[in-house]
Amino acid sequence: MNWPPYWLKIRIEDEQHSFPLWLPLFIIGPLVLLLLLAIFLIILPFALLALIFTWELGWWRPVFLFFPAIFCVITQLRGFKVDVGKTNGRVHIVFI
Amino acid sequence: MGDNQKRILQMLAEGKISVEEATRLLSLVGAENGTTVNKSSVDGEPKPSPKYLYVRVEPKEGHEKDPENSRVNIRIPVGLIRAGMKLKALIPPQAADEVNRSMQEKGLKFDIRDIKDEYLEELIDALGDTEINVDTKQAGIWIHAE
Repeated sequence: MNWPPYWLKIRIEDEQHSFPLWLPLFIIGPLVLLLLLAIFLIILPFALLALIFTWELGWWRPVFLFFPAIFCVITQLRGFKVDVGKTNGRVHIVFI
Repeated sequence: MGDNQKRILQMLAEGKISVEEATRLLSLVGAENGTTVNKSSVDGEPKPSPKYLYVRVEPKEGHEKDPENSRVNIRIPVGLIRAGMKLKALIPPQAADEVNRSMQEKGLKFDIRDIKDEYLEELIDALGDTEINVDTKQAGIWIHAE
C-alpha cells in the first residue's frame, strides 16, 4: 500500500527574501479527515435523501466513489515536485 | 502472423529499423489486432514501468533574464496519473454523454467510457520510451519519463 506523503515543503523566494515552510501532513491530514468526518455525519441524513431521489439518474456513483478516488490521488502525491523560477522569484513545492 | 507484422520483421532484417522500433511497432500492430506482444527490452529482461514523468523548461543563454521566460522543473509520479484516471469513474452518466456529444461535434468519435485500465498501463509503458524535446529561440523544453 502507498502511504500519503508525510511532509509538504514549500519554498518561496524573491530577490530579497526566502520563505521556507515545512507542513507536517501526517498531523494535518488526520485533523482534516476528522473534520470532514464530522461534517459528513452532520449532512448524512440529507445526503441519504438526495441519494434516494437521484438513484435512477446514476448520481450515486460519484457520491460513493468520491472519497476513495481522492484518497488514491493523495496517496500517489509522494514525490510530486513543482519548481518554477523567474528572474525575480522562485516557488518550489515538493511532497515528501 | 499478419501482413503488417511480416513487413515490420522484414524491415528489421534489412536494417531499416532498430530492434526497439520494431518492438514498438509490433506492439502497436498487436493492439490493433487485439493481441498483445511480450513487452521486453533488447536484453530480454522485462522493462520496468517508468516511475516519474519529468517536464523541464530551461531558458536559453541570453534569455534567462527575460520576464516572460520561466525556469520550470516538474516531476509527476506516474502513480498520480493512474489515480487521476480513476477519477473518471466520478463522471455521472449524463455528463459522460454530454462530453461524448461535444467531442463528436468536434470530429472526435470517442467514448470516454471506453478508457480502460489496461489501455492506461500500455500508455504508461510507452511513456518510458517517449522523449519530447522542443527547441525554441528562447527556451528548451524536455519531457520524458523514467
